[in-house]
Amino acid sequence: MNYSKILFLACIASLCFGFTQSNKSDIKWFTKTGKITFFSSTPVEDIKAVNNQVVVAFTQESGSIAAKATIKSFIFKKKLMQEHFNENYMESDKYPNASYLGKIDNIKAVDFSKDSTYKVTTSGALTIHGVTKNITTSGTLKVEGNRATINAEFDVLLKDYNIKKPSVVAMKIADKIKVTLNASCDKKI
Amino acid sequence: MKKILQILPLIIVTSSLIVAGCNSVNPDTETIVTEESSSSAQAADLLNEYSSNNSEADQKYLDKVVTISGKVANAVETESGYNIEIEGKDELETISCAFDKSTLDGANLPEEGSSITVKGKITGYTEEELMGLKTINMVQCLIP
Repeated sequence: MNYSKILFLACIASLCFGFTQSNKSDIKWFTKTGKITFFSSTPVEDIKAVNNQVVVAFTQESGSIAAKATIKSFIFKKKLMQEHFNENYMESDKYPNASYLGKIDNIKAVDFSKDSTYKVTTSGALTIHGVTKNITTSGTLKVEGNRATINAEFDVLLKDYNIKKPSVVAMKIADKIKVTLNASCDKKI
Repeated sequence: MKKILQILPLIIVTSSLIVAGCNSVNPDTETIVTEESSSSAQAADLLNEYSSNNSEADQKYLDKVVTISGKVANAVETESGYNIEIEGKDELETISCAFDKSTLDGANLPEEGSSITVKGKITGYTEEELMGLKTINMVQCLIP
């Protein structure tokens, strides 16, 4: 092996090492008490459910973001609605979790040393009911010292995720569900 | 004897009304567990069981009322009540317990690091990709 080859391999190795190191030192933010609310509105009935146990984490440098929610942690006002939601629509025994894995596209626009509310956009893969779809959302990231709060709102079409409405209650459930996320993440170095 | 027979219908009607009244408190919602615990465990042990074999642990615990003991990682107020996280081996592995406002005194939330025992219904387990956060979720919790 000649000198130039050794030099080339050394450069590659140092680049890989540097990349690994930057990932390791990337400051992380997380919460396990993020809130997802979904809202279905029809002329017949409005239905709301809340899950206050959503795990949300993101990295400050790369902007990677992940969220996980257990479907059975969604709480409804009516017990019967909750049962139907789990058994008939979401089939939560078969598909117990919903998840999101993506990136905050403009993370560089966020100055984590300055308390303020920043507009952010994210793109990534949303998995519900065993179906994964790429989505783009916009929202805000509010920085307050060692806390960063994500707020986002987006629509989910039931047919995109192969969620079927039984004909008996079809009039009561909207085809498009409004989903809101609120997650106050704490800094973890 | 005749007197007893005379007031017996009144006793029956009154008792029925009392029982019906008790049962009609929030008949539509499910906010706290009334069932007995099917098992008890230390938080770290249950998290180990779930992270070793999620589906096996689900068969044992999912949708069941379980009593968990451990140390408080944090306690916060949420829109619908309170949430207490019980620590496993560290703060990244926790059991997240959701309480209704009627089952916990918000003015006296447990302090971080204090020992706690919580009874609640297990709703699932997640492992997050970025930080490896492991979480078991429980709802309808109360402190027995």
